[in-house]
Amino acid sequence: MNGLEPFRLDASARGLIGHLFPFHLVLDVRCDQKVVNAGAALTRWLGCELVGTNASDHFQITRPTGVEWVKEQILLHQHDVVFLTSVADGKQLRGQFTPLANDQLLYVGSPVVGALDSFADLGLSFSDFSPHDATADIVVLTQFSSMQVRDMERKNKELGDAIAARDIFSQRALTDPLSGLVNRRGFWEGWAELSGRDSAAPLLVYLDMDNFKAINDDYGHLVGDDVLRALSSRLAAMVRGDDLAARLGGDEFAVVLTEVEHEKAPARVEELIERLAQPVDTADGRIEISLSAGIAWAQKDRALDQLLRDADTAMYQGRARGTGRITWFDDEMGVDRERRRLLTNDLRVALSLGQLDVAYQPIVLMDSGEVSAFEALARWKHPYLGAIGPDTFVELAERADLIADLDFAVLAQAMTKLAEWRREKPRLQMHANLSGLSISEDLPSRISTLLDYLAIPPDALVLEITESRSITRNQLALVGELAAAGFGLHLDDFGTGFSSMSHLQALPLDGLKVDRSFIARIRESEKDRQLVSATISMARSLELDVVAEGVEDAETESILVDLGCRLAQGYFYSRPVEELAVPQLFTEGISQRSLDQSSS
Amino acid sequence: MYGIVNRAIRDLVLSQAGPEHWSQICDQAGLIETDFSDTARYDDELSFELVAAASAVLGLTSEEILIRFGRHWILYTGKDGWGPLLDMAGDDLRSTVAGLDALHSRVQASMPGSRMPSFTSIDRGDGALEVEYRSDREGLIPMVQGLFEGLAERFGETWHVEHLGPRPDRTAEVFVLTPSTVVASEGEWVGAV
Repeated sequence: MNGLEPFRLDASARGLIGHLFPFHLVLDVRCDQKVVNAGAALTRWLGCELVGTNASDHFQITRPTGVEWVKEQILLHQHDVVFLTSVADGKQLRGQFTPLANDQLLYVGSPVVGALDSFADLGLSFSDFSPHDATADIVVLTQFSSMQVRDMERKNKELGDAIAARDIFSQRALTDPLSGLVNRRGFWEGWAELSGRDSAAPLLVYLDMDNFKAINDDYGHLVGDDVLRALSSRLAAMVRGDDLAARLGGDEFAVVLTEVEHEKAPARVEELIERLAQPVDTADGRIEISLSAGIAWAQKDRALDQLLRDADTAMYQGRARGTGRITWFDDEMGVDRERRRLLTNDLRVALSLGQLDVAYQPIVLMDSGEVSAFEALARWKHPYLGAIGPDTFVELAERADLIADLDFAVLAQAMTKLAEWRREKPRLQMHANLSGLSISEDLPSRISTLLDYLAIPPDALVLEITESRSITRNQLALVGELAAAGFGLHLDDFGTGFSSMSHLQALPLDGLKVDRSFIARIRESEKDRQLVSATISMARSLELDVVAEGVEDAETESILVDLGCRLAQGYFYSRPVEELAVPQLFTEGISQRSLDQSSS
Repeated sequence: MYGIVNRAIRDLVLSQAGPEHWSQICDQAGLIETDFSDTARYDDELSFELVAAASAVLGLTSEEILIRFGRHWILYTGKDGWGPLLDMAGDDLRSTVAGLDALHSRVQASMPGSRMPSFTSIDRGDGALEVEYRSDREGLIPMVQGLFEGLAERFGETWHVEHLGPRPDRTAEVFVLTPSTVVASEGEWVGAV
């Protein structure tokens, strides 16, 4: 550069310089650096006319520092970056001086654009910059960077929102909306957290309301919900520290008590139950609460579901002996539960293999001793354990959801025999038990199909519905279908259930069976006799058949006849017999057998 | 294309049809992520799928969607991101259109790999502008029309925008922009070859 000849700036060269460098200055060093030429963009940018004025009127040389508007000083820096700063408003140019012929200096520069400069502040447009000048690119890059920052902020916000939404969702997913307690899933997660800590083995209290269904029935579901909420808030107030309280569903609650010493545990649990079971005041009045509780200690090798089963087993075993009990799980219960589990499995197998038998107990017309019908009774002879009582296996079937299969298997087997026996006794009927749990959508059609196949009219079958079972609205409609199909419907064990009268009103019944507990006492108890008498009178007025079950002697029969009862069943006439013995009953007759039995 | 284009399509649908339609469009286009980063690059195909899906869901032709999108870009989404740069491109429609190429050449430095269109404007002498649009992307002519309409609205000016068709040598698409005070000689193409 040192060897360059000073450039002579004639008119055409001035045009060229102006075109290529819109931010240039040409100064005459002989006249105090008077501006003899200036780029159009520079003039516009500064907003004042430059030509004819001194450069020092407009600019200071701010870099290199200490340089004055003196030719010799300036030329010392002709190879350096030179900043000119506007005296008026601080606008800066970055450029370079070069000497021209005729004592002139050329300054070629461009506006200094910083990252923080706004476009509005610059007061420039792209057309002010020559295409080779990358200064304008800085403006674009700055804008692009700010867009990237904004993108990042938006993404961060989205991420934050998503995390917050997930947390809310998660919170909702783990919380029971009615009670505000954690739900089953939340309980599981809370337990997992607890298990990870090195603390004393906690105590699991499983709680179930004894009278919740009755509260719902008597006061309605809204009040039932109020009761659940009241219980939940009491529970929430009583847990402390790491304790966990959950509503597992319906009226089932679970509480994990941590930091409980063994010897103090019973008192702690009793206090908990006592405070929980206080009456609840509702808009409909004060409601008494009864809670059954099953308790189990956590053990290291015991998973939560096992622990819950232990507590649940204890609760059910306690409740079997009466409501409102606190029952602690012990090993014996575990053995019993295991026995029941195995027996349930065997029952499932027996049902699938058709290994259940049916015994038949006659229902007789007391005046003639004629067999009017049989009741089909399920019998199970276990291959290793021998005969299992119906009370045991029916209860197992109900708890294992096998009762519908059991009821239908017995019904099908009995109706097949009835088809055979009706060839000899065409008016013979068959009574089959039907648990409320067996009443399903497809039951009416299944029975109809079976009877059609066997060519048995529907009125040959009488379904005995156990009245202690609660029947839902949907099941009630299905019972209506059964009645409409022509099957007989009797209410079993009349007098022992909670809603005998309401069942009489709600169900399309043809008859009822007075429970054996009343019949057994009518000889000694005037009160029972009056109860049975009233039942028979009521049934007659409703045009219902009455069957007295559990008749075991002639005196009872005589009383029943006097009370106007026509049909009876019991050991006095015959024990339940195997199917092979049934024809013998037809030939020998019931009266003769009963006389024989009573004399023996 | 850069995400700001896709976000503009999204903004357009959200403002004119609502979030349910946008969800439908995303489903139809097979999108998992339903928002876009302005400064990230996306496959061109995605933008075209969005336009096709928007067309199907909103019951508008692709051409109508693209015209609306062009206007929306200038008036809302583009303004949000590139607005300050548009400010630097010019003070009115005429100078802005003239500065579009300069603007795009600057933007290219910030958006590597972008394929910017080119605009050459020729003053017809009667106040009207003849603009040659060149792009290696096909099918965006209606969007360019919308962009010009949006620019006019941005500066509060009234221009008639007409797409005359391709140049005879098919190297560019020609638009004539006529200010409201100039009577357009319809269909007349006076550009130099």
